[in-house]
Amino acid sequence: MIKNNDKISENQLSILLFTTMLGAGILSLPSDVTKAAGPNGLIVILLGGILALIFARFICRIASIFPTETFVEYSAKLMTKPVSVILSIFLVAYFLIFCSLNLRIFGEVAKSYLLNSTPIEVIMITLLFTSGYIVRYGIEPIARLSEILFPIMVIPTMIILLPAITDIDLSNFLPILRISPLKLLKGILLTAYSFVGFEILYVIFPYIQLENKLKKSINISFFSIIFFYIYVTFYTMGIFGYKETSVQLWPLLTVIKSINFPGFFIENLESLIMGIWTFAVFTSISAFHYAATLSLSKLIKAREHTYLVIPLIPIIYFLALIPDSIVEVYKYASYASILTLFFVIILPILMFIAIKLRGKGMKNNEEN
Amino acid sequence: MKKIKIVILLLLILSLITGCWDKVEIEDRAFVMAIGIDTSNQAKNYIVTFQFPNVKQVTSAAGGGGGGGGQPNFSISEVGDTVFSASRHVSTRLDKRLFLGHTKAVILGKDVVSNRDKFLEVLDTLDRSYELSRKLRLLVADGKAQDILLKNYKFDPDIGVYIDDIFKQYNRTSIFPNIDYNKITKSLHDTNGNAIIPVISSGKDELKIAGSAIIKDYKLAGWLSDGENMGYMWLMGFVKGGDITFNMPTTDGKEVKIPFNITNTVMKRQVTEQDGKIIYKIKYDVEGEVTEYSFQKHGEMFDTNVLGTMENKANKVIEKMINDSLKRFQKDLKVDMVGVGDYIQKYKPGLWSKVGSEWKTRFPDVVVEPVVSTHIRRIGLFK
Repeated sequence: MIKNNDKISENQLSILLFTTMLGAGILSLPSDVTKAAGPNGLIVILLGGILALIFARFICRIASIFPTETFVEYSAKLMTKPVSVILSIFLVAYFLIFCSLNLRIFGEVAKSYLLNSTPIEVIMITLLFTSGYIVRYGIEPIARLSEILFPIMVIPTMIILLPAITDIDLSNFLPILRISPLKLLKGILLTAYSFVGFEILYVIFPYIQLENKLKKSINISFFSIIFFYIYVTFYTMGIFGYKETSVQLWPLLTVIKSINFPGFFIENLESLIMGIWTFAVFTSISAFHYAATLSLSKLIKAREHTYLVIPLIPIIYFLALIPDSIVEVYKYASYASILTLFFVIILPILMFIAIKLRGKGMKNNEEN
Repeated sequence: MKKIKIVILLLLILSLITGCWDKVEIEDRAFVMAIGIDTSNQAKNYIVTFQFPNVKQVTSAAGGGGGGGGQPNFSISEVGDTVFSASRHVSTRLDKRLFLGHTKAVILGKDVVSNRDKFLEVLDTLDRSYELSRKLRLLVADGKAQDILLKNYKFDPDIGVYIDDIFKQYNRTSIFPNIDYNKITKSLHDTNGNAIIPVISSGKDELKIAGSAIIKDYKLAGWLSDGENMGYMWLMGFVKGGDITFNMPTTDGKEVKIPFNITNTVMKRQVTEQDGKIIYKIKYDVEGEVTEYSFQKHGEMFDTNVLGTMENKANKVIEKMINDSLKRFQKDLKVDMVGVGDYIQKYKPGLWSKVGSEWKTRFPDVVVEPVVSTHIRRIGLFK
């Protein structure tokens, strides 16, 4: 049974989705899209975002047929128990992998920019235990924290970038759409990876207080993140041009280095952006951590998820330490995006087919 | 039992309040304001010079103490196989830790830009650095960078700030390019090794930034003089101010030199292809004011015909400037640094797919047609 105070409203959901999707990926996003699509980076983000939105709505639709169950439970009904168990284990692993990827990238960035002599392990453990602390209290505090951090993350980032508008060369976005459709499609799929995070809908759906504007709140959340991504990429590409952007590791941080904030007493704004970005990573990590804990607790039929929070911390920690170097981190990230492809696109379609096949027996449960 | 728990808890907290791992006191930092990089003929590859202010003097002056003697600035040079190792090995001779986050200028010696491999190495060091800002000014010295940095200048002993302040006034003359490090790397990336870098030279107790070095294929290919540099600025559309001088015949058969002060320019470009020839048209609308004529001729200038003649003269001078500069790029250097290829790539992608692969050989044959129309808006306080 779900406790009443552990439900989130639909408005909270839209902010939670935003902050979950906005994570470590924002730093390298401009470089990924320009590598895939050259000067058409902004178009690719828009289309990739819409693609992700379609599948997010799709996942929601499937979940809404079983409004009180998480993926672990309803997949058993749809595709037999053994398949469901395997898929659920993969889902837990998936959440853990993305949690640890975010964590590792955070550690690397913090170490190279801010805390040169602090061991990366310490940076990571600190963040992880903070996340564990909030995850123990369930989804409602996580959503509330997102609500508090959301304006702190978004508004300063937008203001800090604003003075750079005079440096933007709009011709950097030309020529428009002179690219093979296949390459464009590949770019779209690659960007869809930047929207990773909405898969938590698989497990958090029963915790949403449904008030008939679920679709609207998901739309709002996606369009605001598409806008935010486009905003950031617009500045990066406008200032560096796509050729230089595509070879940079963290273009967002480099673009901050080239901003002259007029009449401001702080000259280098990287540390400010790093602080903001820490929030973004933290909200992503805690959401993934929660999703992993929750699905695991459903899988082993535990009464409460709280006992599983601490045991997962070392797993995330060691997963995060597996890659040897920053190059390997991004190599693993690209492997993980294959998993994304499965959970975001293939699995919903499979489940949809399963529903159609077994649909006759479950008519009474049709979406509300 | 409870007491022991509390004690353990307190001990744990103790480990958290030791403070920051990475703490460096401000007096122990050397805030490098300018870096000079030269090549060396000895065993090591580079001589790197760092210049930083005397923090002790700055802080005591701010506190009103007035004491804190010594010179306002320090410079230190170090040899190293790479620029980075030099910046580390300095610490064997310096009691402070170098901090590059506030560096305002990097000066490359002439030898560095003349040597392709070394120039590439240096550029990469600057690009990969976590600390260095991208707003810094990259300059080429006409000799050794060390010679510029080891001096004390009377206007501002802090060379980084000095250089930065000179750049702020670029649009009073337009004889050196207002290009910061960010734009130089962008240009190098976009054109695969071509860029323009401003040139710095030092007098007895002052600095001068004028003209620029032409980098072709990551190597020094020549210099642009002051006038040619302004022509380059015209071609790129960077001119937003500055002055030109033209000769104006007067009614009594003499000539007067007239300064024309540019206040604003608008550039429009167009590319067409005719019989296999690429024609690149640039149209300028230049606004400005005339600030001198002749004391004897007071009253004569209040005539639109006179102004019309002056505008024509100004057009000629600007067009000549542009053509001179173009000749340098098209005939001598044969390298497209004036954005023609870039423009075609962006606005005429169809044409670019035809000529892009052989652009190096096509560029010298491009017909460039600058059309300048000057507008004199103001004439000073006398008619």
